[in-house]
Amino acid sequence: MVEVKLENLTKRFGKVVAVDHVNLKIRDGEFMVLLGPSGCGKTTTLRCIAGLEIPDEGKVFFGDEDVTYLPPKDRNVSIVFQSYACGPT
Amino acid sequence: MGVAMTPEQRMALKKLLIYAAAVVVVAWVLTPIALITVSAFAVPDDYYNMDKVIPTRFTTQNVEDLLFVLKGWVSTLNSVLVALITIAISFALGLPAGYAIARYAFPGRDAIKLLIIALRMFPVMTMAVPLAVLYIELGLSDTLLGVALAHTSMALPFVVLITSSIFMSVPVAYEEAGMVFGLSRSEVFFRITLPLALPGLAAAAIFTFVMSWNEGFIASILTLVNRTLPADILVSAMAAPDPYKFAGGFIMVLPAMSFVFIARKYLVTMWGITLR
Repeated sequence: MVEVKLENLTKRFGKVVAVDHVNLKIRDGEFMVLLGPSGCGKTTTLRCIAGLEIPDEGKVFFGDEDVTYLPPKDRNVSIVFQSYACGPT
Repeated sequence: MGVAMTPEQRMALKKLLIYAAAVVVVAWVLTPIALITVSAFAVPDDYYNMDKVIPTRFTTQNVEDLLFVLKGWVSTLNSVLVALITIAISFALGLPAGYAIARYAFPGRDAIKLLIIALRMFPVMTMAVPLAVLYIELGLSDTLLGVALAHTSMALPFVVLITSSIFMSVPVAYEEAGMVFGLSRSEVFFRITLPLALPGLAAAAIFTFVMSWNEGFIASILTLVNRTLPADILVSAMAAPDPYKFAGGFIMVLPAMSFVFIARKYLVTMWGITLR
């Protein structure tokens, strides 16, 4: 595992600020829960970590590596979506 | 009515009415097709015999004459070629557009969608003469590619709308899961989205085929020698005796008929989401 660090992470959709300057450090092996009401930006934060959204401001670090602009396939992360994404192989 | 009905009777009556309506609709659609088919294969003597409402003796002579004596097979081949080129070009241009409309929210998306449909409101008749002049200047006149290009401009709006609604029915989460597990953007399209969309896209392709196959007006204006089948029938077979006209009509009807039988279960996906 690796340490995940968010620095001033910000994501806007038009005028709506979905993630507002989030600073977060998840230590290696730590079990972290993001808790909050619907629409408070939990999913958007996770999507930024997975690389499915590119943040407007701030950086995402895996260990010492800056992965903010790295495409999801090169990040070695997994995400389980709210709705099942099982399809025919 | 005043007579009290049991729920069973009411159910039976409802069923009867639905079946009656279905019979009327089917008869409305199939009667002309049945007439064309019967007349196409009737022996000319039987067809012209006033005492016989329905011919009793049948032959394939009419269709054979139309195809081989009147060289109908050349124009049939032309029609198939034009339709295939039309599918190739309109899919090469329409698939990316449909995908973009389905997947990305960009400013003016709805306006672009509306403009694409509005293209179909434009009457082709008004453009016939300028188009012919342009084609002569470009050297496209009387070529199959030229007809295919004209058909592409007609089919493209439908291809864009149909493919966008098909792509919308493929969940975004599938694509994102694919990306997280190591596919690039284009690999996701070719290995996840495209296979899932394939049945619908095949239906869209056949739809394009039938549209090009049926189009006679532009084709008859833009060609002289290399005619497609409807243009050929429109111009030369109309001077022929009735059985040949019906034989031509029968050949024209075949692909559309088989299309509906093959693709009917995909028709809802094709139009379902755009109609919503």
